Amino acid sequence: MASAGSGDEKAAAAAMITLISSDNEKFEVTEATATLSQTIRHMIEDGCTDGGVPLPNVTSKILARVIEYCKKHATAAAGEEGSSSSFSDAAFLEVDRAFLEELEEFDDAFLEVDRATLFDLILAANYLDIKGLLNLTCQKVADSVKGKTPEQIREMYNIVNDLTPEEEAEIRRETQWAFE
Amino acid sequence: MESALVRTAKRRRELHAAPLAATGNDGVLPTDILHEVLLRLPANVLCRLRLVCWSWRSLTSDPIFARAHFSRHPLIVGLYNDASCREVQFVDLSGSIVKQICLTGGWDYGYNVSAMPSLLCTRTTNEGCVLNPSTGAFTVLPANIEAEHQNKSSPILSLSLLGRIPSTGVYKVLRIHRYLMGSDPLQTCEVMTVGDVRWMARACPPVTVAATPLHAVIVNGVAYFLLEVHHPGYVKMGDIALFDLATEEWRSDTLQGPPKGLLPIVDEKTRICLHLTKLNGCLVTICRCSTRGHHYKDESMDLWFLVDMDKGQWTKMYSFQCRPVLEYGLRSPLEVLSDGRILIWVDCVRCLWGI
Repeated sequence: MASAGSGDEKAAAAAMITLISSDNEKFEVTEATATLSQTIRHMIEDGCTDGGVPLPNVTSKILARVIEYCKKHATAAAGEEGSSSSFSDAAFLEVDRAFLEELEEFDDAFLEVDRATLFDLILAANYLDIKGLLNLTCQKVADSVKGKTPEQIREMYNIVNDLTPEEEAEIRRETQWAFE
Repeated sequence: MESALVRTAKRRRELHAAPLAATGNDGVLPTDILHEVLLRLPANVLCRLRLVCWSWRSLTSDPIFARAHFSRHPLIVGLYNDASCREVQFVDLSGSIVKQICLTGGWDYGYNVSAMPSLLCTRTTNEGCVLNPSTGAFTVLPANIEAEHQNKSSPILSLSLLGRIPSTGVYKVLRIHRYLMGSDPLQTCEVMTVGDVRWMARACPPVTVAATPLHAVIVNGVAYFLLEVHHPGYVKMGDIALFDLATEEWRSDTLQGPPKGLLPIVDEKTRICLHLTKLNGCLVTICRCSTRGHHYKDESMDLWFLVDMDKGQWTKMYSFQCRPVLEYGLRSPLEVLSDGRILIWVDCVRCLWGI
């Protein structure tokens, strides 16, 4: 992948990593994108990325989405690092705010998926150890259950109520205040 | 903080040795996800959702989960006391009261502001009380004194501390009474397991301990006491006495406090004042530094964490100047939040302060 003739620095910036999904599809991403995942970062540090990084727990469909997220957020991270000089404070804050807004819009749109995909994204974020993505997706699920009754939640998530009436009464006693 | 996270991660791996499914999930919440999701719900929602099913209930009852949840959504517990009402209040970080438990009976004095433990212990003038915050049930501890101490005059000072023994989950209350016998103080030590009805006399402290809420704390089943010199409230620099709640014995060795050479220099202008507390599951020595003559008007505060119990190694993890607006009133660090900020109770203005 190294582009011939360029300096070391440039070669490092352009270093590419190949990720291989559970269904054997290959994705080439920059190191900056890949290292949003702590799991992959550790593999790179250990020098175990030659010949690609197999990710047997992530399908190509989900991996494509995860990469889309990482690309966007890696750009954001790079923007933050390089921002210290050249701008005056006010101008910098303006740019910064616009960028954060854009990122927020991206995140909102990114979360417009069906529930099964959302869960797969959480599992992938957990496995790949991508903090921001895990936070984003889990918060989405948390928000979706916040205002619901236990019965509505069971229905939404196909959960069988395996509590006996005695146990239910006990839980209500334990946390009476939450039902008031 | 790190260790709690690592523990949580380890625990999760133990619970789910099977590899994560790569092919679809049928819309069912895997437990791994559930853990992450429930951590993001506030306490009152969480309590309501314990009714969903057995696994939601058992996950939310897990002490490791509770600790991880608490560091994201801390609740402050306080005894509210005025002429018309006495209640224990649970306040979240937005300042809203999420729960109140009214107290009946002779609660005429209380000292307790603490981050939320599983049980609370507080003290009236005569007796200690243990409160279960989830059920609201409270038990008044017997005031009577163990037979072998009954010939003594009534105690002039007493301290009750509640602690949990990590290996068994048993709660015990440790009570230190201080008597005046001639010119020398005498301290007695009694222990009661929560649920029992009588105090058991145990060996007296081997050295005079500072038996006040600011100078003693229980961490992981061990009670730590600063040592008293001359008068109640005056403590010796350096040594800490230990009482093991599981064996109900005093440890023969004292623990060295933070190295004296690294504490601020005491001179005619500056005084320092040491207190003990528990933060983030660690024993912490609070070193308050102030100008002489201004009692409790701290100018700076250092928090020394006992990072390695076996080696007795202390690390100064926080050091800060106190803001002038909050210069009066005793500041007590309550808890370290998940983002590293510290929650501080300011006594006289009754406000919380994050740094």
